[in-house]
Amino acid sequence: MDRLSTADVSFGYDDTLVIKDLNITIPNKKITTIIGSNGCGKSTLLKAMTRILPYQTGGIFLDGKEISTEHTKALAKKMAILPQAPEGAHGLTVGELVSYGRFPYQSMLGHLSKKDHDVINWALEVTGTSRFKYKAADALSGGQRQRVWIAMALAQETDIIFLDEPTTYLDMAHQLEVLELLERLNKEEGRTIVMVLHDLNHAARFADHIIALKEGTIVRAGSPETIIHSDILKEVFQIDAVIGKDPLSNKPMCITYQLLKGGTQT
Amino acid sequence: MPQQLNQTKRFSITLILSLLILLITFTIAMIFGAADIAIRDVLSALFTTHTNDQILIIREIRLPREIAAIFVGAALGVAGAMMQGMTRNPLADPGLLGLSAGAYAALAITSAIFPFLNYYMVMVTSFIGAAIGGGLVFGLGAIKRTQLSPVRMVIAGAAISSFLYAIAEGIGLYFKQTKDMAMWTAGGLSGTTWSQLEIVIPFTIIGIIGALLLSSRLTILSLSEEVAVGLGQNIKQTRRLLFLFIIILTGSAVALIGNMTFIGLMIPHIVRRFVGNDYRFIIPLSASYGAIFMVFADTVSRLIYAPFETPVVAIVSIFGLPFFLWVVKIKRGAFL
Repeated sequence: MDRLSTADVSFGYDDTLVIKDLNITIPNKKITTIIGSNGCGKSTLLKAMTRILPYQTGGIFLDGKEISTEHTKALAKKMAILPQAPEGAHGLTVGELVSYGRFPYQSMLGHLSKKDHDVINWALEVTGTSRFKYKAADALSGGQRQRVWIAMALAQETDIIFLDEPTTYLDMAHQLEVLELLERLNKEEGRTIVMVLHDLNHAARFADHIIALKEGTIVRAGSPETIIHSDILKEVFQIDAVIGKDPLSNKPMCITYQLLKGGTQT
Repeated sequence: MPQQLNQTKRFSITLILSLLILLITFTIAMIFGAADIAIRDVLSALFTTHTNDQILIIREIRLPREIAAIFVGAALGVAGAMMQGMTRNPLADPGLLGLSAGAYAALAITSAIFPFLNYYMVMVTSFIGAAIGGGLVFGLGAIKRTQLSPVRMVIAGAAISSFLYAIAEGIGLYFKQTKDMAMWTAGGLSGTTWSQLEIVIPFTIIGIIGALLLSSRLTILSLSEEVAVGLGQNIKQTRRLLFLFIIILTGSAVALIGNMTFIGLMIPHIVRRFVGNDYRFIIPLSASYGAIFMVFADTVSRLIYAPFETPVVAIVSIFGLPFFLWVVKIKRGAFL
C-alpha cells in the first residue's frame, strides 16, 4: 500500500502556479528521487508534500487523509523534512540540535524523556556523529554538519523522510557517505526516502523510483532503467546523453552528454 | 574543555552566578545613594517592622525603585531575546524597532486626554501602543518583497520612532505636559511607587513565563522556518504568541521607566557568549542579566553626580551605542 500521493494538486508562489494538476504516488519503503532542470518545480514539489508550502487546489494525501487538514504535530511524527542547505546552527551544540528532532513528541516545557535520549543517541550513532555531541555544530565541516541535520530528521522517528538536495556543497566522498546512509536507512529500516538530487548518476544508482519533472509537469516516472534514457533526458534537460552501465552498481549511467544540436528547444 | 561541558551544567552555573551578582548589585544599590544608609538598616527594612528615617527611605524610595529596575531590566532583556530569535535580526531591540516609542506615544496621548485613567487602563494603552509601534516598523519592512536587512530594519525603526516621539511631543505641547513627559524619561525609575509595582509586576511575570514556555519553539524558529514547520510547529501561532508577550514585556517596562533602548539588544548577545543559542537557556539568563544591568545602571545614575541624578537613559546609552556598533561589525555577512 502506498501511503503518500497527490491528486490534481496545484501550487506555487503568490499568483504564479509552479505546478498544475499534478498526480504522483510515492512508493512505500522505497527511495524516490525527483530530477529535473533548474526551476522545474522539484523543490517546490517537496515543500508542498511536506506542507511547508500550502497548495491551492487538488489534494495531497498521507494515509488517506489530506495533509492540509491534519494536525501539523501529528504529521511531524510521520514525515520529516531536511530543507535545502539549512542555515547555520548559530551556536547550538550537535546534541542540542538533534534533540530538537524530538519536538513533535514533547510537551510545552520540552523535557526530554529516557526514550527521547535513547532515540537521540541512536540518531547520532547511525549518522556517525556521536563524537561531536558536545561540539558546536557550526564548527563542523559541511559533510559532518549535513549528517547532523540528517540525525535531527532521524530523531523525529518518521517512516518518511524528505530531503532537498542533501548532497549540495559536499565533496565526492561526503556525497556518497550521505547517500549510503540513506540507502542503509531504507534497506535496513524500511524508511521511505524522497529526495531531490541534481546528480543523475546518483539518482540512477540509489533510487528505486525516479520522477522526472519539466516545467511543473511529469515527463515520466519509473525505475532508473526507464528514466535514465537518452530520449527522456533529451526532453527533461535538453541534452544529448550517452547512456551506459555503471560497472559498480549495474545501474544505467550517463557517461557523457552534449547540448542538443540546433540550440535549446522550448 | 569548556566546549565539552554539558550545556545544562553551563547554564546552571551561569544562572547561579547571575543570581549571586544580582544579590550583590541589589545590596550595593540599597546602601549607596543620596542618603547614607548602613547595611544594618537595609536588613531591618527588609526583615523587621522597625522604623526610622533611613529605614523609611529604603522601604518607600529605594526598595520599590530597585525592584522596578529588576523587573524592567528582566522584561527588556527577555523581550530583546525573543525579538532577535523571532526576526533573526541580531539588532532587534524593543527600543530600536519602534515598540518602546509606540508605548511611549500611547502613554503620552492617554495621560494628556484622560489624566485620571486608572493604572490598569494605562498599562493596556501601553501594550496597544507597543503593538502599533512594532506593527508599523514590521509593516514598513514588509512593503518590499525581499526581507529588509537588519540595519535597514533599524533605520525603519528609527524613522517610525521619531514619528511617534513627535506625536508624543506634539500632544505634550498642546496639553502643556511636555515637562512631565520629559521628566518621566529623564527621571527613569525615580518616584516608582509600590502601587505601580503591584500592577506592573504581574504583567512582567506573565510575559516572562510566556517567553519561557515558548523558548524551545523559538530556538527552532530561529534556525529556519522550514525546519520549524517540518518539526510540527504551528509557526503562525508561535509568532502571534511571541509578539503578544513581547508587547506585554515592553509595555510594562515603558510604563515604569519611559523609553529605554539597548538593554534588549545587549543582554541576549552577552548571554549567548556563555550558553550558545538555545533559547531555553537564553530567555531565563536574559531576565537575570537584564535585571543586573538595570540595577547597576540605575545605581550609577544615582551615584555618579550625587546628590543629583544623571538620566539613566544616558548611562545605558554609553554602553549601548558602542555595543550596537560592535554587533553591526561582527555580524556583517554572517547570520543576518
